[in-house]
Amino acid sequence: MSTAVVSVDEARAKDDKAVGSWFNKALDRGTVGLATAGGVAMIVLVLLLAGVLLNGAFPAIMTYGWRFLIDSDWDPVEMHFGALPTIYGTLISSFLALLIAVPVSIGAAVFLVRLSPRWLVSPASFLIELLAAIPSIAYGFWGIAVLVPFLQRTGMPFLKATLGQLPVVGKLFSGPAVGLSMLAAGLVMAIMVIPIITSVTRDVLRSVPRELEEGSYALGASWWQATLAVLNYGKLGIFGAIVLGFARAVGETMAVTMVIGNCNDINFSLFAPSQTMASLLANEFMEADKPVYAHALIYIAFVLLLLTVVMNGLARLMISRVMSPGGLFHGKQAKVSPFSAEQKAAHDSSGKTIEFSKPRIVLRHSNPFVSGTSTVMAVLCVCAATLTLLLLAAITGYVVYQGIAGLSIELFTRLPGPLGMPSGMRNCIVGTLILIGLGSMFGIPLGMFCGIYLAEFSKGSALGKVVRMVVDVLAGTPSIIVGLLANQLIVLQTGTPSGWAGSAALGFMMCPIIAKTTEEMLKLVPATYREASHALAGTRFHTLFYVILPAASSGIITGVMLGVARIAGETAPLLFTVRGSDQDTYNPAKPFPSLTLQIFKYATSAPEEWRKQAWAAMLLLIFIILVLSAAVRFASRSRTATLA
Amino acid sequence: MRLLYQVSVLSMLVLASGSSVRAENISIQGVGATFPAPLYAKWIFQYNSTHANVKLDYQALGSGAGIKQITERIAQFGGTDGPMTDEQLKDAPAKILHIPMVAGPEVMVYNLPDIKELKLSGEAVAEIYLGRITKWNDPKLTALNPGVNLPEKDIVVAHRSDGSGTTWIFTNFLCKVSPDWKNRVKNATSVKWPIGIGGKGNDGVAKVVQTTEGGIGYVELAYAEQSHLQYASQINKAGKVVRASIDGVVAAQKYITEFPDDMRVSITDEPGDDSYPISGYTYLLIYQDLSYLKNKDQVTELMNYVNWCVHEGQEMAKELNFAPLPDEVQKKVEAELKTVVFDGQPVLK
Repeated sequence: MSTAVVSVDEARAKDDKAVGSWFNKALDRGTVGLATAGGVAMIVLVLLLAGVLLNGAFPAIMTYGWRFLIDSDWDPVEMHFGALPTIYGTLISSFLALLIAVPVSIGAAVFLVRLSPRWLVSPASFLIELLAAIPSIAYGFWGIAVLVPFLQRTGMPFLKATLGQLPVVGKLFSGPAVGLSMLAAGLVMAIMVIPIITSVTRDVLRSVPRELEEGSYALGASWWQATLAVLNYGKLGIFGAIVLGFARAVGETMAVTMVIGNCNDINFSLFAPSQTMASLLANEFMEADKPVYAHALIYIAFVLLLLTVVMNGLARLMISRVMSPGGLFHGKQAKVSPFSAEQKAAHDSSGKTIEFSKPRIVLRHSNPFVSGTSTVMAVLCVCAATLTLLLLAAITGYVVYQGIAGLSIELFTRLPGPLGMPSGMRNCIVGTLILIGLGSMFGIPLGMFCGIYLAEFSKGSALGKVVRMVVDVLAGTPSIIVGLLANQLIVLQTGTPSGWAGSAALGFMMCPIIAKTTEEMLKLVPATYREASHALAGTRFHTLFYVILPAASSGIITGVMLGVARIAGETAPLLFTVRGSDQDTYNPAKPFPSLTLQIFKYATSAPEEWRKQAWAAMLLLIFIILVLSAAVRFASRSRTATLA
Repeated sequence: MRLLYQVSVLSMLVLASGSSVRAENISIQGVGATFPAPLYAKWIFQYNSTHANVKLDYQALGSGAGIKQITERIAQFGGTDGPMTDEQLKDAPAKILHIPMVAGPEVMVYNLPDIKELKLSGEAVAEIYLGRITKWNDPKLTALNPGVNLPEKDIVVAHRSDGSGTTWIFTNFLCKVSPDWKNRVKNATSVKWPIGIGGKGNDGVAKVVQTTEGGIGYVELAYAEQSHLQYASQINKAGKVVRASIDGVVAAQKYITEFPDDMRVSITDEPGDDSYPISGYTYLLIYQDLSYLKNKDQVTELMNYVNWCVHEGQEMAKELNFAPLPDEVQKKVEAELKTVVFDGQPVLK
């Protein structure tokens, strides 16, 4: 593909000088310019992000210096601030999440790539990706409704009686069995990062050359020994996947805020409540009345941003080393894309069948011990995949069960009101739809232009590389920090929380997702299309808008829907920006109602009636997201069919 | 692409309809304390039924948020139970008035399914929140509750995670009954808690206690009732056991002989046999000069509503266990409300 594109470009360069009306030239320039502007806009966004946070944190950085990071005192009365308790809480809860999520995820990925019957691969992958589409607030709500009571009554007393009796380690499982704790946060986050680590590990394993596996079998290896060889080969990429999961856990806000217990102390026991950097921001930024207080919080946000950027950068680097051509191995390798060559092969029913399934049967081995290990490990992998799917079933099942019980016509027809009166969330439903619409108006064009720039016009230029890196940084930015940015830039400047600020934050969130899918989809369009268009004297403008974009349209729509599904469930970026409203006043320049904010409010409240409403609203929200995700699946299928 | 187009057209339509509605309506936004939120929600519901064109909205995000957003002039009125400090008042761009709306008791809710009755003293509550009493069957607690079989369970302390007037009233009370508390933790809307789990809003604290066996927390009485949580009776300054009620708050209010002109007052730990010790006023915060809002209709409706609350609204307060303003306080408030001006003219006649 690359050679063909270059030749078209060369031909174009000649033609540009020779032929073409001024109109077509202007159109061409405009097209390239607009796309490049999309790319440059991403860089501007990242600079803005860093600049605004640094500016807001500067007074605190000057006052406290780096000692802020090791000061364990967070005292809003004396106005003395240190970040250590939240840094500790963030790191420990994230490590805990990884400790649980990593074995499960790798097991599930091995199952998907090396054990699963063909008919199961596609639906199972889809279901695991669904876990990633469930909004953070749903995990949090499930956490306080199911996980926390379970931990309190059964889980923690059991741990205390068993692991708690051990020397040293026992300290981790001591203290009152409260439920709301570091442990609860770690468990909820583990469930949240499993889909991320699983899907990236799956892609990494798929891109390991078949020769390696075949060679292992040829040398008499058992299934597990061959699997180990494959895992060993892809270890850098898998490590990258883990770091990616870690970065996600570090920036997680809503679910953690709901279950961690919000306590700014360092406590060795996992049973004790704690606080993460993100949950501290969610809890205290709204009422930081003194400038010093706000500066200290923004300092924390800045540290959090640095941490996630470094983590994401590291992860991307490691993954791309394994997966990219000219990286760890050569030859054409799959991209990190849901439409990788392997998956396409899995879709068609001819040819490769034998090659795929044959080695999997080699679970037996002449050495019974080796053969036994193989069987045990295979069973463990099956268990890991089953566990993941069971978790999905448990969470969605619970939401559906509670949601249906709480559904009522009032939810759609009435406004929020006092307890005991018939009330609903009419304005919140409409408000969320408007916010998604407005956010899309910012995010979709910007993301698409950036994607077009990356795929069509960057041509390995330095700017292109920077833009690609910047898009990765944006994709990994914790949503609470995006909210903070919108607060500093829009709310503080206009003097009021507003629908505009909220939708800008949402648009910001969807940009990188859309940019990435657009780029990938455009790259899948065969170079021959571009050549043919050029041969017929199509300008860049014509080629792009009449040939390439239509060819990739369903794929791009997939990206757009992914982006919309992602922002539909977002809560953290709205906390500081739209503030919520109980009236049906839809002026985007004013505080704005939002479904997710209302769910958060009701989910953390005690009255039965409000909890019921929150579950029903959650069901509605997840329904919207699932419909979008299913549509993505459908659209991507028909797309694969057209291009194949 | 077509889908995209349709989505954006649709959202534009919704937007347009939204803004056309706005043209006829007056929207007023308030932010603040969760303490009076059950009552405020009811007031707004009631007021809207007779004034359909006034879109009142009160977001209960905590007193800390209320103080911040009125100071920054983001909301048109704020709500707080902890009066603003002198320093906070000085930071505000203009003079802010504290308008007492009602008073209410805070109760210690607990989650011990088998214990139907519990008595607590101020010292005991302070010791629990300082982390010195950690078990429900601590001798200090059993001594207060003879005949009650308190379990050997860990006490799980719940407090607020956000800036809160409920916390202000609670810590104000603890400062009066415990010198250690006064020295170590002090009285504020957010403090450095020695121990415990943070919940967001009165609701969040109720939620923590509701889900945690052995839990204890402080919430406004209406929240205990709404959430069906048990709450302890308090031993007051006179050494008598009092159950939280309107009467207990009214009794405590009596001991404020001279209600200050700026209305900032504390009624915790008052003497008298019937006084309930943990109670306080909740305030509406507004600027004395509302000219900055620039919209005369909005200002008029805002003041009409506030005036309605301190008159017609007072009767409704009792249904939710809030104590109405005593007559002399109400007179003071009436006079205060008349000092509010727009473009140099008093808003209320």
